[in-house]
Amino acid sequence: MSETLRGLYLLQPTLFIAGAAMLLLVVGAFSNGKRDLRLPALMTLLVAFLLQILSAEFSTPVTGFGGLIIRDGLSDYGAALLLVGLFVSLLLADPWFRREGILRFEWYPLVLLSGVGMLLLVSAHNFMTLYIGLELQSLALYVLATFHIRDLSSAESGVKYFILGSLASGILLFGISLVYGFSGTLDFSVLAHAIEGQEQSAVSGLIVGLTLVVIGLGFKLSAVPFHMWTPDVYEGAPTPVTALFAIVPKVAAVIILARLMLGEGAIISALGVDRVLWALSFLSMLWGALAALGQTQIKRLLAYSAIGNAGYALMGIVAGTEDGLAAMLVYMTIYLVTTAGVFAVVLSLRSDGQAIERLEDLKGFAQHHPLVAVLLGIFLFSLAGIPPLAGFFGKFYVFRAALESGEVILAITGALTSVVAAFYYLRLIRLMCFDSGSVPQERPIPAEYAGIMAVSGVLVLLFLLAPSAPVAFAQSAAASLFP
Amino acid sequence: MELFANPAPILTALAFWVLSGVLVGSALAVVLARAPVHSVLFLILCFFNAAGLFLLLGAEFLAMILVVVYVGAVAVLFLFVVMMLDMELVALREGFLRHLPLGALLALVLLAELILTAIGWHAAQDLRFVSATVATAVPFAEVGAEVSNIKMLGAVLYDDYFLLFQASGLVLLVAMIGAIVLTHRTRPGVRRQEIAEQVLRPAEARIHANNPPIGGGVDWDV
Amino acid sequence: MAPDLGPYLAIAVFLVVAGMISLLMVMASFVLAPRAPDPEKNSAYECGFAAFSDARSKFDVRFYLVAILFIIFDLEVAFLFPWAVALGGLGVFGLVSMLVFLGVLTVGFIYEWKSGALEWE
Repeated sequence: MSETLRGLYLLQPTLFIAGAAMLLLVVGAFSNGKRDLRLPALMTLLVAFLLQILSAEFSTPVTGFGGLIIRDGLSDYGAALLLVGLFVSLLLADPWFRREGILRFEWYPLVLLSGVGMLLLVSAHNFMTLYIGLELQSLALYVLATFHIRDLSSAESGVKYFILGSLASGILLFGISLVYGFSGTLDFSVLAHAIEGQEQSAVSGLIVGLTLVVIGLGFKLSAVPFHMWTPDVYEGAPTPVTALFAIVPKVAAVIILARLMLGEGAIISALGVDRVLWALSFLSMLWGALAALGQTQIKRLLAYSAIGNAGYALMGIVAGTEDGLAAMLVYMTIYLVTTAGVFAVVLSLRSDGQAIERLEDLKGFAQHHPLVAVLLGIFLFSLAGIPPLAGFFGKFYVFRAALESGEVILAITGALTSVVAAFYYLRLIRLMCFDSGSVPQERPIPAEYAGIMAVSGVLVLLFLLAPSAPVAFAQSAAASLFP
Repeated sequence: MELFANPAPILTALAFWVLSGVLVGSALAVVLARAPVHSVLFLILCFFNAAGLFLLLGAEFLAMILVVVYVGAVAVLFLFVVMMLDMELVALREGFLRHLPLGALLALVLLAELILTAIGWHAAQDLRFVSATVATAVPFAEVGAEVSNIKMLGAVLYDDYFLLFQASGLVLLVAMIGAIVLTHRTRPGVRRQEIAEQVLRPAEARIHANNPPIGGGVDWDV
Repeated sequence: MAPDLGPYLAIAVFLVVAGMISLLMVMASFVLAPRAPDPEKNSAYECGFAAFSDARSKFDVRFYLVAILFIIFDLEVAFLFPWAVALGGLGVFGLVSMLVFLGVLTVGFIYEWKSGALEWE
């Protein structure tokens, strides 16, 4: 009973969001969708964020519910990041949905419930919690991908995401059952203790099982070669949903992978499964850069950029050190801020009542809307890793951590693919600034988009002035896995 | 085989081979059957046989739930779709030979993995023993042999695994919301009975005397 | 962990006997019934022309919604079974646990009802 109480205390932000989501659902149903639930939903996330900060203990990890969940520096950092990401996604969604006329009140409960799944995922200390958190998150996201019911491409993206996601969940579950069969436990700590000092033949089943788990998680992360769903789903889903996909689920997936890989005696790396992660990182960086070169649609380009970024984040994990993990956390934070800014710009691109979808429609954009173009330029340069913007620091930390732990090939690949990626970002910027003949865009830009663009732009520009604070945060979060 | 406490181990072995054989056969039939409806019916046969295998393993609750949920709900859903959609059989079957090599390759890779893990099963005995001593709560150790599988399950599910139980409730909630968001259409102009409205209507509002002039009509005002 | 399969023997016997009887009935009619197929017998009844399209109408998604909602509440009932058996040993906490679960699904039920998903039209 005390385990349960402690667990409830540790998970209070998650419980609060779940309760609020249900309340919003009932309120929305009773008001027949007339009541605007945006403010309550945003307030929920703010309160959850406060609860998260107030109950945070960066000192020692605490488990709850009999070892089902853990609350340590890494989970606190991840939860904070997720809550910020969800808040931004909710802000980005409303004007677009109103414009297209497809706003339904179920949007808010669904986003909040997927947030509950993600929060469970970052606190998971048991494979069952991992699976349930992942399923809760994914199921809500499948529905959100199809949110624009009348639109055929939205329906297509939902179907593709659902089928491939279910397949990945099936593979994940098969891996988990192999792990259970070969070790008799699903708890991360118990598993780590059991693996210590075992020879290879005894753990072959575990290796297969954990590889399948990594594959299942790699799918959610859009790592190559499990990235097939990403371009189509990103392109077909309504743009705010794409923003949600790009910003938030990746953080949760990458943190749980870090926990499996690096925490508790490093379950995965002890068995050599970290080589699989190496391959995922390598291929993602490579393919994310190369495949983006031929893209003509804005959202598909952003999908490939997300795939490439997954590769860089994985590099931080493959490095296997505390610095690597801290670098990965900093990278994900910067990625979140930059992507939020990019999507704020993309969502505000409209002309003639239609959203701008193709890259070539951005020709000469800078002449008509210089400020937005400058901000987009800043974000793209940051994604390309050009100093002195924040993205450069993110990549720098990750490369340095990789080099320090001997992953030279990975670091060199990362640098080279950054150059390739920079090429297509610069091509986009050239399109905006120096080509002519664009369609003038509608004004005014909704306040939410302008606000997010401005805040992200400021953060990305000024990161170099005070990099030590976020890095120190990430460092203390990473330290919780390396006692 | 010495695990099973029933007096006729040969009956258990026979049951295992029959169930497994029919299971594999009907699984093949699901893929190879001509008509989609036949596929679904063979799938139902698969589920029944799998339930039988679960019974042999002692997972009684799982076996019953397999029948109730999978056959009773999921397979029925499959039948809905298969019977009501107009599926072109020819279009479904084409491309089978084209994809066969790749499919066979994937199946072989999975088979190789399964064989590897099966080989490692015996070597992993020590591993399972180690983790069993390290693990905290092992409900089976405390419980006597007379306690049924379903009772053992209930003893842990609502107590130790409270979080996961509630989380699965949330998953079901999301499924409900999703089903309604995706499929619910309201047709405009449909007149429904609002029982509460009807019952609460005051007496004066029920009957309205129009008194039309002679030769004039009534203005319907719905 | 040895499962006591004694009681299931009765079910197995029952299944085999039931299966054999049904098989017997089908086989009997297959073997004993006279068969003289004729194209005239398969043509349109009484009068009219041969059908030129499938008789199926467009799939109405309302059936699907009903089936999905059924599955969800069926799973809720499936969770109720072990709870009912084990409630004695679980005490008040077990009761509260199930009440919270039922509460979550009741919220979903309220949402369904209010948004009109339970109305056929």
